[in-house]
Amino acid sequence: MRGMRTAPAWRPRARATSSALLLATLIGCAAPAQTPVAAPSATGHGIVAEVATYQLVANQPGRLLVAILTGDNLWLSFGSVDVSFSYLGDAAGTPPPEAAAAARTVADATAQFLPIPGSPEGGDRPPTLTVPADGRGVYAVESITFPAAGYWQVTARGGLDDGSKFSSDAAFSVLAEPSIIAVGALAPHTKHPVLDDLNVPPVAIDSRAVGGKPIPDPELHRTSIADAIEAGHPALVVFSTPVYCVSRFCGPVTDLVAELATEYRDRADFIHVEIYQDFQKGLVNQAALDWLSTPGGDLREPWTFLIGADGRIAASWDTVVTRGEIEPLLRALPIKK
Amino acid sequence: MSLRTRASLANRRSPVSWLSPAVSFALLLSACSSVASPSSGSSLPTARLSASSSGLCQAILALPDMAVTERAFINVAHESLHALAADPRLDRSAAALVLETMARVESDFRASTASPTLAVDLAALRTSTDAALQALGEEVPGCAA
Repeated sequence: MRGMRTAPAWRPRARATSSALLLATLIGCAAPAQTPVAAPSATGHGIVAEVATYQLVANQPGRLLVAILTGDNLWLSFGSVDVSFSYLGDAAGTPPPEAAAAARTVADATAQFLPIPGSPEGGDRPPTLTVPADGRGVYAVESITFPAAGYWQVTARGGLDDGSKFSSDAAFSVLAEPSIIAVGALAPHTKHPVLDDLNVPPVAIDSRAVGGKPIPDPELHRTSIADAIEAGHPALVVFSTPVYCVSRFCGPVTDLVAELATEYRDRADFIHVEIYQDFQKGLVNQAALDWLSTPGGDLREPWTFLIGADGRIAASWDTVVTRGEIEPLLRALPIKK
Repeated sequence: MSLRTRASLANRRSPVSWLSPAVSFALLLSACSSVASPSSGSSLPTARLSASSSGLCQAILALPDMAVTERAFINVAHESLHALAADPRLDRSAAALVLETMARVESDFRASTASPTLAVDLAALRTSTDAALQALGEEVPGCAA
């Protein structure tokens, strides 16, 4: 096995000690906080939770996404689940004194189902275990603020449509400072390849052009971020790699941005920035590095940013974003000059 | 356009199987590493890698029923295909082939009318998938009609 140590064999009884294992690992970890940290535990139906949010920053409202699934590829879909939080320790791995931990509290919340674009919303259905074709998504707390950087644990619990209950924990990190450009910051005037850059391989503009196919969604590849900002246009920018995506969310999110482009092109510019310049060689487009690479060298996809006419980041979404989250912001924009 | 190579980014694929706490432990260890790598983003659960091939087999056998074919692809093969392509033991060119042939199949399913290339694309995806499984020493299930 190249580049990775073989994981130790797992024994069922060790599952009960996963939280202790997590904390012990965190304590031994001196690296800066990165989000997410996976530390799932499961109860009932083999359900596990994992935080899907890429960046949460202390004392700043953020969106928490929790995916809830089973080992046999069923997704918990629809309705809402209850979530509660506990503070595990600071970014240096120091477990908090009991009083400090008690002071670092976050109120319980309700997380609503957020379907991956193209997946059923479920209407009034209660949380239900579904095969991927019938429901895929995450549970979202749209605005939540954590009072301290470090490692936190979310416990998701709820009832299923069969009347049974579940509870599952996942750990994640909260950063002291944003590692990805934050809402309110000036957006970099990034030049990146667009349709008329004849010297750039089409696949570096959109990975779906692999194999000599034409670049799809040309409306997303006509303008660079720099050009939109310099024209004073708002811009909805998605960084994704539809073919080489690891997160599984790039395709649906890119398709959503393309749909919105057809409806709101009179109000904003719409831009897709491909992550890879050459996947096989491991070359990443400079624009993706400039926007998404963290100080630790991590790069996660997809990210979607709304840049205002003033050139500042008006909103950003990691992982999943839905029409319902973006569309009100686009509708509020004036017609472009 | 200015591009740069980051050797660490060449190893962007990490095995993510959060079903196994042992693997989660490995993931936690990797979270402590200062080695840079584009990461998996939201790490989703992965079934056995061989389900990628068996799911494709189910999809192929369901042709020409597009609905059943697509459900077999999405419900059985899809997650395992991503997990297979993300396996760090797999050569990047083999991973690319799996992902590129998978994209062709997904494009076929998105087409408004029945795609005439779906059967060919599914077969190509199964070929690339089986080659990747063999490269990893994983089980390659048969596909008897």
